[in-house]
Amino acid sequence: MDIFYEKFSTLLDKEDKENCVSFIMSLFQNASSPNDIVNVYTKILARALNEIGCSIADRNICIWKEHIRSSIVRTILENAYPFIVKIRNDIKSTNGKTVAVICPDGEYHEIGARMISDFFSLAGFESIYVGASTPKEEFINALNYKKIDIFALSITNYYNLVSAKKTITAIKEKAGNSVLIAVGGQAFNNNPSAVSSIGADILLHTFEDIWNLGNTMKEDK
Amino acid sequence: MDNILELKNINKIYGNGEFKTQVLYDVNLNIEKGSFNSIIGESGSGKSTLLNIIGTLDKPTSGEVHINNIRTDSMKRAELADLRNQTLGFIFQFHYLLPEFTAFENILIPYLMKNSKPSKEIVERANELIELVGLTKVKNNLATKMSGGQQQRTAIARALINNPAIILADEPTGNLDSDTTEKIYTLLRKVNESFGTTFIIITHDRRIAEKADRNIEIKDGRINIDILR
Ligand SMILES: Nc1ncnc2c1ncn2[C@@H]1O[C@H](COP(=O)(O)OP(=O)(O)OP(=O)(O)O)[C@@H](O)[C@H]1O
Ligand SMILES: [Mg+2]
Repeated sequence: MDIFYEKFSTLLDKEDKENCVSFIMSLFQNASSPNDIVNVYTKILARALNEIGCSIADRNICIWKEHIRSSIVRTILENAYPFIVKIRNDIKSTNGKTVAVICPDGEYHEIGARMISDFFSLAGFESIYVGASTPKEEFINALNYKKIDIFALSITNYYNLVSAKKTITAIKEKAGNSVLIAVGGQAFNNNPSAVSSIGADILLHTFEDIWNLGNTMKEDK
Repeated sequence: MDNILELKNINKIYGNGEFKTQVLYDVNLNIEKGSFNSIIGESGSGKSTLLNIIGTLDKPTSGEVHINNIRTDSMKRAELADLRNQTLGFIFQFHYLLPEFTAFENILIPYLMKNSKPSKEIVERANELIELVGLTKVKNNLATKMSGGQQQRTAIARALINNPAIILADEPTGNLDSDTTEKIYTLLRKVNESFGTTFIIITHDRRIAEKADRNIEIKDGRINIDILR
């Protein structure tokens, strides 16, 4: 993967959208298992977003450049969907459980959440990506129109743990323990105890965590 | 790390007899020296009550307050006044500047409470602070002849004049526009970094809260969430 990473990060650093997208698409075409896709996500795309820094010469356009890189990766993620579906159907492991992936109110960092949503698909869930900064009333109302087994909340900015707690409290009031609340994201790096203090049931870090969750939920179906 | 502040089992009950209301319940909180903290929470949750107890402006009904390892909730009035003057700086949403004094004179007030005449050093310090908060041009204006943001920056410089170890701020940007809020935040951060001043700031402003080192949410008189950046 390292050699692919080097190539991709060079293209991304140059903001060469066309070649970034076609390079990753060719990797997807060669993917044959969920792990192949997951590796592209974590070891190339996420790593590049995290590691490409800002040079001193560019210090006044850091955010500008970061947004361009994010937007290129978003295009890639949109185009990944057919490959996700194909691999998921190949392994035929749908477990009949529905997960809604959401960023709580105020959280606009959505790339992590989108990736997680695809991980859930690959692990056999029906995964609905709801989107950035979803007001908590909307989650609750959604429970009326669709059966949801898991709410997965992705939280990057630690301050959004506050709104996440409000959201989780509201979900539990409405649905009791019939929905599982999963959480993940960088906000927990310095706040491991926040998982329980905001009322979540489980912290998911890696694809393996999601895969294992899929297995346990299949068993108790 | 050293704690500059420790609260132990703080309870606060207002009123007496039939009209008692409990506003704080068993609050335990330690604040590290040099840290930049924000207190958030809904209106009426007890934030100002807590900050006033921290600042020794009010006493807890029960529990202990320790500042720099000294217990303050049982101190005498005169001792408290000294402690406040030397160790604590206050910034409020409404700045209570003295209208008939200039910005420069207002900044010197905490010093003049203790000393009859400003020393050369303190005049220098006042000028440095004026520079720091960007008020050089209006320093000789009367408090009433300044904009809201300028008055707020005057209040910040005033809170800093005695070089306090802790700054307590209650919605310091509550009535300011977002650009000025950003500037005030940057200024407070600069003070935090250059003097190692500990900050405890009550704020409804997301832009300040999310940039603090730590957020403590008060809900119905209890700590509901306590998180680190
Ligand atoms: N002197 C007082 N006597 C009686 N009750 C009081 C007194 N001061 C405050 N309270 C009550 O204590 C509760 C907490 O008030 P406090 O001022 O601490 O809230 P707050 O969190 O600062 O709210 P806000 O965001 O609106 O400033 C409120 O219900 C208030 O009515
Ligand atoms: Mg208040």
